[in-house]
Amino acid sequence: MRRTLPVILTLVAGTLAILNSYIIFAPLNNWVPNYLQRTVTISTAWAVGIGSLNLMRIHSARISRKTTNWSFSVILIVAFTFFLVLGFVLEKHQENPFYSMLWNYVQPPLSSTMYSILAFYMASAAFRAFRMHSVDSTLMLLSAFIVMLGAVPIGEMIWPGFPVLQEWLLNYINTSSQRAITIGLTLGAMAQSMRVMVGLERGHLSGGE
Amino acid sequence: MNVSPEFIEAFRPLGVWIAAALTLGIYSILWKENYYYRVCEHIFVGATSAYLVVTSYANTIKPAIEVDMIEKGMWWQIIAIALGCMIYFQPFAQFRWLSRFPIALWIGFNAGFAGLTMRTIMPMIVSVRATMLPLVVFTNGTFDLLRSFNNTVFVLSTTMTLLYFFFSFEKLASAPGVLKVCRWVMMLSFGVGFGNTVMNRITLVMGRFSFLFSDWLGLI
Repeated sequence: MRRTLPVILTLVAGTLAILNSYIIFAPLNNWVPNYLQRTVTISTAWAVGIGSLNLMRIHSARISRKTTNWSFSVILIVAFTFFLVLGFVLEKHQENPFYSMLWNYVQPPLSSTMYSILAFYMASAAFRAFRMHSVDSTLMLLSAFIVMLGAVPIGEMIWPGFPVLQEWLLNYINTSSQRAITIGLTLGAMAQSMRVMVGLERGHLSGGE
Repeated sequence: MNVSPEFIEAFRPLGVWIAAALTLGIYSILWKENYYYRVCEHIFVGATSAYLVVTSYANTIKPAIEVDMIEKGMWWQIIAIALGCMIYFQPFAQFRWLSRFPIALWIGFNAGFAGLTMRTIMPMIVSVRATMLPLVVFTNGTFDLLRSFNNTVFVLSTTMTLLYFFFSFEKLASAPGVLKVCRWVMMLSFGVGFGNTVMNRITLVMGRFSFLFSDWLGLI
């Protein structure tokens, strides 16, 4: 029962989602989005809590065991608790000017800086790839170089053909390859979904435990 | 707890200093791994996790209980809440099997919804249809070399990428030249993606530098 029922639940939930997409039958078309999908949405919202609980559990253990760099765990827990308590105490935290003010001076600067440093890592990766002297890496860097120069005014000043070439690469080489990758991904997703639904893939049910 | 616009304006300089300190803290990793960066990194993880919890509660759980169940009488949603609560048995080995039920529901529904419905299949069909372009194009009765060339490149590029993914290991192993050309096409495409991503990241860098030099230091 502990293993079979979840597999049956997986199959039933997936089948209902599929049937709702292909069959026009009012009770089904009403029940799936309004009840089944709503149940999935509400129950999924609870999962965020266990993720955070797990984070707290790991970092509390680090503090109590005084492992290496345990002080960072204190900082994490303080930041977590501060924004959590404030979010629960303040009514409609997303619209609250005080919460928004604090949030806007902490999270957006951190997240945009975190993503922006990838530019430096990518530049370093590109340099290393270029040193490999293979045709593949040269072609990749050549097209990347054209796209980057085509997107900035200085590229057009160097050679007016850069924006034209950039547009051509985007419209004919990139779009076509991405389209092929999308087709492959869709076929892969379909096969994987089918395997999950019929119970051939059970990794989500704690594997062989 | 509401604050006045005057308070927000008075807090602004301190807020800008906090944001600048955090920005510099993240950038300090470019020099080397250091304490300052790790502090900012942990603040980022802690603050974002808390925000996700609060937002999930405020946007989904709270309306489900207060509005749907209590005000509208949709008591069936207790099932959804019970299922959601069952995931909290995950850390307890003896009762872990109970957490399989919500996971089974989420995975099953999303496998069907995202993998096998028209929502997923239609874009693929549209993609296939849009790739079937005429290789020889006539515009106003005359041969259009540019469009014919572009369409041929498009169709060949799609076909080669598909060939590489689907037949690279067995069917085309005896024709390494074909595989090589397929890979070159893909490399050109990945280069475009790489270039675009670098440009996006540079935009973010410029945004942060603009903040530092304009809002914080007031130099520009």
